[in-house]
Amino acid sequence: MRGYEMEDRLKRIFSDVLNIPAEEISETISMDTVEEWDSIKHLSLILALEQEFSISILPEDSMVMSNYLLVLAILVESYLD
Amino acid sequence: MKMGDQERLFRDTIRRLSANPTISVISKEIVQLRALACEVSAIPIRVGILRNYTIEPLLQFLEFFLFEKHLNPSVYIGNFGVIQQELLDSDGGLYKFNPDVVFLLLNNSFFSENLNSGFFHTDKKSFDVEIADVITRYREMIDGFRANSDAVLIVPNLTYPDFLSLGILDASWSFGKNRLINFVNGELTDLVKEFSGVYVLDMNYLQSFVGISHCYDTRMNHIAKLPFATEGYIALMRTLSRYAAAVKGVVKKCLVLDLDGTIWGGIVGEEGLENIGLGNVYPGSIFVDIQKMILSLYQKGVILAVNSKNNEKDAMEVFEEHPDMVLKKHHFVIMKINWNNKADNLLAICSELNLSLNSIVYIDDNPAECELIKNLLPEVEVFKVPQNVVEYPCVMKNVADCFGTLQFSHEDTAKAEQYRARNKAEELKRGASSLDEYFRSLDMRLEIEPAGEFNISRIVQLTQKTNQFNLTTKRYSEPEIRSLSSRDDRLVCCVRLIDTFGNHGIIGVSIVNFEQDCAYIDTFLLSCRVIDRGIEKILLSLIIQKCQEKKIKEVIGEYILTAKNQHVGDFYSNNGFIRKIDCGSRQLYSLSLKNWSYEIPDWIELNARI
Repeated sequence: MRGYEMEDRLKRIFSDVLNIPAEEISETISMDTVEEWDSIKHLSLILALEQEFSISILPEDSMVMSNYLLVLAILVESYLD
Repeated sequence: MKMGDQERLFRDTIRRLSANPTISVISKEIVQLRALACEVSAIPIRVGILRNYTIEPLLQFLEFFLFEKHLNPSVYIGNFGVIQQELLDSDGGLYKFNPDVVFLLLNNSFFSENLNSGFFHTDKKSFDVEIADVITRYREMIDGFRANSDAVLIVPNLTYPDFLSLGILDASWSFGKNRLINFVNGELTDLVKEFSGVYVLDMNYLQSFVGISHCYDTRMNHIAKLPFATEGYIALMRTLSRYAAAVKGVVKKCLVLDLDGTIWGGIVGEEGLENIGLGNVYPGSIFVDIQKMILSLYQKGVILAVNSKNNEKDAMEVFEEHPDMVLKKHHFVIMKINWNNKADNLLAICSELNLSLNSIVYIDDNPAECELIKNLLPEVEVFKVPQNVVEYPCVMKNVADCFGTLQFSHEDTAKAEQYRARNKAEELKRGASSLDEYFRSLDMRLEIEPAGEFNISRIVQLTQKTNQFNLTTKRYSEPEIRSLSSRDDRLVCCVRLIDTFGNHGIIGVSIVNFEQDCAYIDTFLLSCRVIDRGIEKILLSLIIQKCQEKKIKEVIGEYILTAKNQHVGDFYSNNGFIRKIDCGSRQLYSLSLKNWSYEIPDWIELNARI
């Protein structure tokens, strides 16, 4: 999968689940800066990512995915070709 | 936004999402849907949920499935694991919320830790005691609830474990785990019958249906107490929405069926009685199963009706003569078998049965007819027979679920009647503008081309096979078509259709003879699956335009009556021709080109190469 295509999809998932416009999804998006991103929303986010990319995310990974950059890095590193 | 516009936006959004409701898309759209639901005529319903596992991330699916059924939910969720307290506290959150229906979402471990772990019983006494204890627990919960509320209560039965310590021996062991669960579930059914308005949520069947290996998610269960996989949750939420719909009396009453391709394979008017797909060989065997399922719905009390574009004689012959027909004429309350617009037929059915459109489920194999009904009559639930007929029985399961009732409704019957009556008045106000929008939505592209190497065999085939929309039913062989198309005084052409459903290939043929300043339409035929979409008129007009180019002054059309084409008798007179000669079974029509002109409608893209 091409890098920018994957990022577009990732940003769309973040945008849909956290109710933030896609243009605003960037390095600054994290559990600390986004009020709506609580533990329940985190579950929705993980499930949505799994559904979108047809992957199964390890508990260890999902527990550290607390900001957009980390999610991107971990997905690229371990889950996507 | 006007009321009608909001209603349309609501339904269109739901329809768009229904095709593939993913977590991210539902998350995004649910906010707007909630706002719209308050503005449209959705029926309010108050849903209470007490649970011992996490459900929050998937709750929006429950909302969505309720919106799909035109219900507008308010949802109360008890705190995690707080069950008894909520049930017994008459001043607590649950009862203050005043629910219409309460779901207890509890997994096996709520009732007994034993049921979760691999422990099995070794003697009758402890086996019986465990069963009795579990049933007592259910009884106490129901009693506690009934003391405080008359609302409908839905209690879950027990699911099978995915770990059986006895393994292959469990099913042969008198005190095996699954046997215990079966006993509890059996007694639970008896228990709920002691009360009014208490029903079993069949988690056991849900688990089987989704498949134990797909239903659960061990990982999510351990990190978030989310026991189900996304697929399992979505199935659960869909099931809950069906119970909720039944509680509010939002249940369909009438199943309307197309015939060709829907209750038998093929088109009887074109292929003949002996060749339709119905019997003990694939695909006929699938249609026999489908008919048996429909019959079982009839036996349950569902009203059946037919809505088919056919010659009545051809269709009735199947009912009367075909040995493999399971469904008979007397199973159907109304049969609309004609060449009218199918939406008009549905409105007539409603009117004659005194039902509102909301009560109707409609099945058809033709995607264009399905879209027509979805556009013009959005209250009707439409199912399309899948392209791969092997998937049809699965679709029938979803059809059957539309008629699921608990035979108990808190709904005020008078209010329901008012709602139905108000809707009927709205329904009857459909306008032609909707039809134009429908045509536009089909995104049709027509290509009209002269006979050539690439289309000749298909042209020949159509002249041989087409019976219903065929004005003169003249059959031609390949050498004959080749010969005709090489002549200067003949035009042999065909029309291709591409629309939003795909490339339909060549669907129409016309052969025209030119003699000095007069043209005679020798052949004009169209596949019956694409009629009533304006294509016949466009093809005719293009041919007339060609005649105009050739300085023709008069165009003659002939209609030869056969057993199959009675309904096209008015075609020429409906398109500006005057009937000149009438011999009963043969008629000649004439069109003077003196002041004739034609404008191609803007909802179609045309490529005319004749």
